Amino acid sequence: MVLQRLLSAIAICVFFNVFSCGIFSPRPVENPISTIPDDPFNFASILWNTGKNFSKLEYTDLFDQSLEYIDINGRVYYKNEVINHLNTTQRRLTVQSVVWAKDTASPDLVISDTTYIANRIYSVSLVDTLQKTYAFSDKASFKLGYNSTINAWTIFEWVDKFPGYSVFHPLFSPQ
Amino acid sequence: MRAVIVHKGFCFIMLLGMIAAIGAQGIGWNAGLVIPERVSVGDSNGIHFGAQQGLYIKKFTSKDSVLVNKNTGNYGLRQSADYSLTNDYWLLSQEHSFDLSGEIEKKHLPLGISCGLEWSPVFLYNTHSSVKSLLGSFELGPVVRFESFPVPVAVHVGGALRAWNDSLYSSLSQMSYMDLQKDKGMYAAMEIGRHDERLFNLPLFASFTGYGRSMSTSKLIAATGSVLAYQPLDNGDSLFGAYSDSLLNGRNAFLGQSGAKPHFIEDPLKIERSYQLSAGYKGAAKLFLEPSLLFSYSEHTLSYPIETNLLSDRKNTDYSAVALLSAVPSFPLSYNGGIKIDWENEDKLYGKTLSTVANATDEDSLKINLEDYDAYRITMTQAVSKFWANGIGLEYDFDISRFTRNYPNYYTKNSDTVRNTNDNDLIVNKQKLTVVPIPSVWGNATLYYEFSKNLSNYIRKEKSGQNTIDWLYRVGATYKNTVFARCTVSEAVSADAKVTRYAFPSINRGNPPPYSRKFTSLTVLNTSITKKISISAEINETYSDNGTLNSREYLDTIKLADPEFMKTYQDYYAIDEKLMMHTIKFACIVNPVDSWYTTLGCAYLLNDAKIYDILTNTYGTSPSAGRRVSPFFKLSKVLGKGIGGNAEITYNFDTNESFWDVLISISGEF
Repeated sequence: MVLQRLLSAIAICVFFNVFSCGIFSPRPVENPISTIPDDPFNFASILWNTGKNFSKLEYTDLFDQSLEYIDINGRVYYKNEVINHLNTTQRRLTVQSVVWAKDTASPDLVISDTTYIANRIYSVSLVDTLQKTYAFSDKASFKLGYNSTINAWTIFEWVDKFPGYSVFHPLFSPQ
Repeated sequence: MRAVIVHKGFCFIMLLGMIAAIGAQGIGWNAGLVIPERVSVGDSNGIHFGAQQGLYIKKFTSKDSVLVNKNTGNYGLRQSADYSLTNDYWLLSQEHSFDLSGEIEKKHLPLGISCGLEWSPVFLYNTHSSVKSLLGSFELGPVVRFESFPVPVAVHVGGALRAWNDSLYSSLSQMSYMDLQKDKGMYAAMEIGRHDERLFNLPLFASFTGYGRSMSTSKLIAATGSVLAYQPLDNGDSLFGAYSDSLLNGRNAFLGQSGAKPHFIEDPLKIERSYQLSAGYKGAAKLFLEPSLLFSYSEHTLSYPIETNLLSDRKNTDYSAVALLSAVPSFPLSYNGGIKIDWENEDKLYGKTLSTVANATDEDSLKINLEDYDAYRITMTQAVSKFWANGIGLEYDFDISRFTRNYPNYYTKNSDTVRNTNDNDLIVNKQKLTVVPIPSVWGNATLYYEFSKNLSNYIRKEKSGQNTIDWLYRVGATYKNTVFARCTVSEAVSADAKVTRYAFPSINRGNPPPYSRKFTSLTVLNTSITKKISISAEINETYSDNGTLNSREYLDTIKLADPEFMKTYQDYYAIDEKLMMHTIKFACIVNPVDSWYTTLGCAYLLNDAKIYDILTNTYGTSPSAGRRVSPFFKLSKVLGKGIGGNAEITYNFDTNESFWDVLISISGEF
């Protein structure tokens, strides 16, 4: 019995120590040449003058794992769809200007110290390679949560009130 | 409001499939390999009803439903009436939906056949500002069920009619049938087998559901199927195998909003398929350990055959291997551990052959193709605990994961190579030690220490300047005890510090990394004054701040070159925002009779938030600061026979914006 317990404990230790063989170690990196994070849609400005900030602007961190993008028809799109769309859109179009202005009719709400609702009126202007302009303006409401794992505010709900497909909508495509 | 017109039963099955797929994402036994428990669905008689009304900030929602079931020996009748309303005061829109689906059937015909007729009328009525729209859909057709077959089968076929007007400026009463646009077609559906019923009395479960609808405005085929087999072995081990598949091919049409008014919208034609093959081994206890192994392959493809300009076609594949180990209860330690390895691939615009040299026709495609990636994800969880009979003990949890992504594609343009530079490693390491230091007879007490390290590591030089390491440190304690005969008190305190450091401080000069702290205390007192009246009080104090950790290595070169500045310089924590949040909540719970529960109370929140003003070098009141007084009332009542109601009403007097939070529901059956 004692031997069996000992063997079991050894098996647990072996299983437990898989992490020490290097599979959880990062790869070597190249020396950097730039430090400016990409934020073509100026998401950082959503929290300007609120005392809070998005300390992580990469989309994988900026958007919570449970992100729901909800369009005006109540249809829900999830994190991967939103990130795929933003990445492809910013490769296909050049962002000229993005403004996320506070909505005086709907002030921000502090739900708790880790949940915050930011209501914004946005206007976005983009051009394609033929210099055709795409402009969108409407309301958006963001529910933000503080993610203690990555030490950053993240967006977990994004309600876009644009009637149709705004540039942020995963089914938008430049014509 | 989403108002897609698809067969309701099919939607439910699709939802189950999605839930199973989501459940399979975590580390643990694959949800698709769990032997389902038989859910008995007998003939029933009765009326089920439910109503739920909610108001939160500026949106009112209402869902009301009635379902009538009537079954005799030879006949069955089911009629439902569902109504939902969403009234958005921010958007000035109202969306109504009515559904009156039902079915009547004659049972016990020769050969064990049941025959019936089903109908599914759905009406949608939306208003937005001054514009109104209406959509009606009606499906009607026979349904045949073959219940006495070894595999239960049901076949549905019928006609479908749709009529709509998305530019109604007059009222509904003035509208004539001729004002409507119309569309007609047919539908067919089939259900074979049950996912929770053994096939031919073998350890085998199989089911298939298909639905097709052909209208001139939209055509749709959707199907799901699954097979699960398991084989117990003589030595106590078990083997499992499963295959599941789902397909959606077609387009949905729904009444929504577009161009600032209600509109009949047709989704682009899409073909979406997901399937998963999985196999598992669950071992009987060996020594004192129970091992399990799982392997699976899953593939998801999405394509838009007509909307080629959308460039959203993609294919995702995932090979997954999982090893699990747990200790049997008789082992001196409680132990659960597991390792999961996934090899993932995303191929955008799959099936499309692209040149590696940019040209005018396919440069957009080449840009999107840069987002293709290969990845592997390793996750390991370990939990060890030891608790003695008196309650004293300790537990250690360790979770670590690595997610590595490579973007292999590139193209050349004007002799320059263009590639995606997002190749990265994300490594998350979380550890938590929990100690129960006193016997449970002295009260429930825990002390804990939590640590997590999060490493974001871009490989290429264009992005590696953003590489960060985050640390979270948290210590806390909880205590709960009954201090007098009818009085319990609990206290929970914790302190956090979150530190971020750039991997290359020298190129982040002038941009110091974020830092934050948080201290919380929650005291709860519950006391029973009499058997029917009790009082609860909560005091929650939270202090938090966030800002940047200004250390020497992040100083810009101008300051570094200033000897006078450097002579007096010391590293410091620059606080951008300070938040002191006080919450006091008081509630009186009255239970006058056994089936009544009422709670009356009030919460007070003071959010004393200050932000640093760089112009005046002082802390000013933050725009998010304010007070909130929230009187609330809760009532629940059980009427017996499964009928009950619940009401939760809160009004928040907020210095920024006052708002309601109301939820009233009643449900039951008789």
